[in-house]
Amino acid sequence: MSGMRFFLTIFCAALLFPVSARADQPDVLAITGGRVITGSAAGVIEGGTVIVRKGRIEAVGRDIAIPAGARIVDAKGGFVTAGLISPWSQLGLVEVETVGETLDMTAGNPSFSAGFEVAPGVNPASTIIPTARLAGVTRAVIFPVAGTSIFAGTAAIIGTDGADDSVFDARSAIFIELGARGAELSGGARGATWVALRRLFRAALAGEKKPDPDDIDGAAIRALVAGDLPMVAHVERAADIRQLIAFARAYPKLRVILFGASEGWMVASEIAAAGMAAIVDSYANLPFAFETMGATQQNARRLADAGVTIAIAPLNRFSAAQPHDARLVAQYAGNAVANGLNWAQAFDAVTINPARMFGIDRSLGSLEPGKIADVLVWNADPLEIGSAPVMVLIAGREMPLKSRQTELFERYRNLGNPKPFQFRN
Amino acid sequence: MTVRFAACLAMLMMVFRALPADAGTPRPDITAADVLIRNATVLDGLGGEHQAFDVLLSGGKVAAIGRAVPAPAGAVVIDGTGKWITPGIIDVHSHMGNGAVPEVFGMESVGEFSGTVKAEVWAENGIVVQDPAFGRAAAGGVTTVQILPGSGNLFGGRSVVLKVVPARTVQDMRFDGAADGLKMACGEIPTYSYNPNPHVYGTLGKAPATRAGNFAIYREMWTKAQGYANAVKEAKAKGTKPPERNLQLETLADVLDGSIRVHMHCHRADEMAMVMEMAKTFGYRVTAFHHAIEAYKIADILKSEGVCAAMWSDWWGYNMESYDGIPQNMGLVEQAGGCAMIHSDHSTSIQHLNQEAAKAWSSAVNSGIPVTKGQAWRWLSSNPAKALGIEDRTGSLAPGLNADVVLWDKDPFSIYARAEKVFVDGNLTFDRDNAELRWVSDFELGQTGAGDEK
Repeated sequence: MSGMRFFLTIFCAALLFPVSARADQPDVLAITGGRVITGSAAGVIEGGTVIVRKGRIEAVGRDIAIPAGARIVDAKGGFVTAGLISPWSQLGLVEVETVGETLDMTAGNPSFSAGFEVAPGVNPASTIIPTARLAGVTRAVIFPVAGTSIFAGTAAIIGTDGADDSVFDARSAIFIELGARGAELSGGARGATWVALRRLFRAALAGEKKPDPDDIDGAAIRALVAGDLPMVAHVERAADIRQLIAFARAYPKLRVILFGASEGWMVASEIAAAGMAAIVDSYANLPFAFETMGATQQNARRLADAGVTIAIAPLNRFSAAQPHDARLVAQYAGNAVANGLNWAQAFDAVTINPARMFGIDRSLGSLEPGKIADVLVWNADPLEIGSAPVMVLIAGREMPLKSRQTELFERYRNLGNPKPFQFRN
Repeated sequence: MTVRFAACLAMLMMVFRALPADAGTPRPDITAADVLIRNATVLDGLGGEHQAFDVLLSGGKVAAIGRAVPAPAGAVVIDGTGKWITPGIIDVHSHMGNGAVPEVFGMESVGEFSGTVKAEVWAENGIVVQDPAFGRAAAGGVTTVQILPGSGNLFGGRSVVLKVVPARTVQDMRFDGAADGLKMACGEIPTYSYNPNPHVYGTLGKAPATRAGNFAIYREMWTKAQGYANAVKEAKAKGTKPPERNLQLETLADVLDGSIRVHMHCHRADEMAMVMEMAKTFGYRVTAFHHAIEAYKIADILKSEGVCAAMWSDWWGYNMESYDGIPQNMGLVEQAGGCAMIHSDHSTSIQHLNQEAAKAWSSAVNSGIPVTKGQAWRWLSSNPAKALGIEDRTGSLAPGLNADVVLWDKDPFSIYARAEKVFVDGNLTFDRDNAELRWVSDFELGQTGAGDEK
């Protein structure tokens, strides 16, 4: 076999694998006996049943007839939930942070910013995606990281099935830096950021009458002003949040999601009154920067108590770009519970809340009839350390519970095996 | 509630007394009373888990551990029902004080980026005692830390072991008698630290430009150190003039004679194996590899060579040398009978090392590697104590050891658990029920959020 043909055979086999795996999936699945966290008005159903048909949730409830021919999955003693949604990461945009050719989160081109979309750069074959899937993350909102402009660009939502069509929504939010980093990008002062932002908004709206097809930033900002997608704004300091609330008053349809918001608790009722949501890190409690002086692990609970819709995510455990920690959302939600947030609110913060924030709650984020069947069966409390999904459905398709990490583990778990490591496949 | 009130009252009665033998200079004693915690689940730090045990702290030491320990007169008795007691957490790899918060210009002292060989640098000289991170770590049950220089240098300098206690000077925190450490580093970071054009090797024409170049410099330095040590020895024997004092080579010579322990940042299995071989040829030992992402690939060799591995539960993939990290790393080293340790390297994760251990423990158990919670707690206590040469002082709840103890409100392997009371030498360094004992660093004092529940 020639080298090229061998390569093509392997390549095609790799492409075929997920397709053939999916082909055996039965039409109807009935998950029975588990503690069903619906994430909807139906609340928690002990010993409930979830029926999945053709990629959609057909029914959820206690006494539901199981359709003939359904494959029955016994979830007794376990939890059944919607797939987790990672509200912020660079999953699929970064493979190795120090390897430039694997980075697709930043557009350094100063001639465009808000209109830069990460979606075309998504690598569904990233080895990091399956690690998130194994932890129950079925959808991830993946964000650009700011380069030369306060606008980092346009975020996407991906499924974690690794499929070629894993981009679920190519335009799900626009990210902007409005705190210390925003000031740095604006020339060195917060005041300059607000001048720049007002100008950008005015210029975009002025361009509406005669849109220039190359003015992708203008189009992106007009979409923000029309409320077509939310503006995710990195702000930490309470005073910066107040500035943002004041700015947003001029644009009644503008949907704002605060990102970071370490001092959000100090202005929680104002945030709630402005109808803004927030993505927060449940561990952040140190003044790494002057703008996070008031950081506390109580932030999530205090914001939720004030009526702010929150999502919880690892925001920057170690570095600015963060593909690896997308899998930790359940842990981060659990830590918010340890700090006083109630369990249901914490679970919402990694499922239905991000779905609402990014406008996909009609199809994802909870177990309700008609929704896309991203469904997890867990062996224990999903927010507890050590619990894991024993079944992961993405759009009704059962996913393999494997990753490059599990393969490395299998290869090295028995060092005494005489078979050479390279042959242990 | 009344017990809690009595305990608070006793602790509020600030009594000053002479310090236990370990401490260098006096520091305020927060609770002079004996403390008896009753009927808790105890992880003894040596591998054991005990139900319905009592632990008595007296005179700054663990005085008794067992069933139905009698309360000495005047002891503060705490009901531990439903709660857990463990030895205090020892983090063998921290940069608190050196990478002080806020992370802004003027505060950085982790990496002395002025050369590849900086063995003469001492981490303790860069400590900011008022780093807010120390108080946060205390609230996470951390009682002892090793502060290491950064990994930008091949020889980064001397580490320092500190007690996590409120203090005014570094001397007030120093864990006297702990073995001195030398930080060394393998791999990518020392190479690109001197060739900063984003990860393109050799852009400044400076050595090392490659991982292989790192080894050339290690060998060169160990050769010089051998010569220096021999010259010193010879001069001493003959009564002749010793060579001019060289602080770099002096540190390395101390490694060669075993009085300084090597803590080496090394991710890759192949590199760790070569370092151990090199160490043998020069006659020194590596005490521990840190960030040992691939320890699982050579767990048997680490065991047979008696080298510890300091690891994260699940941080990986941030560069090529960390690409093969797996969450079972800790469990596989444990399974091989090796010395596994959890380390933080970061001022946020140091606050929840119990959760990090729990993740590593459950990754092992869920993969069919039998590890008990008792065994896993050694990753946080007696194993790092051994690596730091302080296992006869702290790291377990054996009677006579320092009363470095954490009372957890529930099983510390649960995400929902939090440290309730933390003792160092029998003194409370944190008490969740007592707002008076919240750490407010000088930096935070008078600023937003000072004194808040963090």
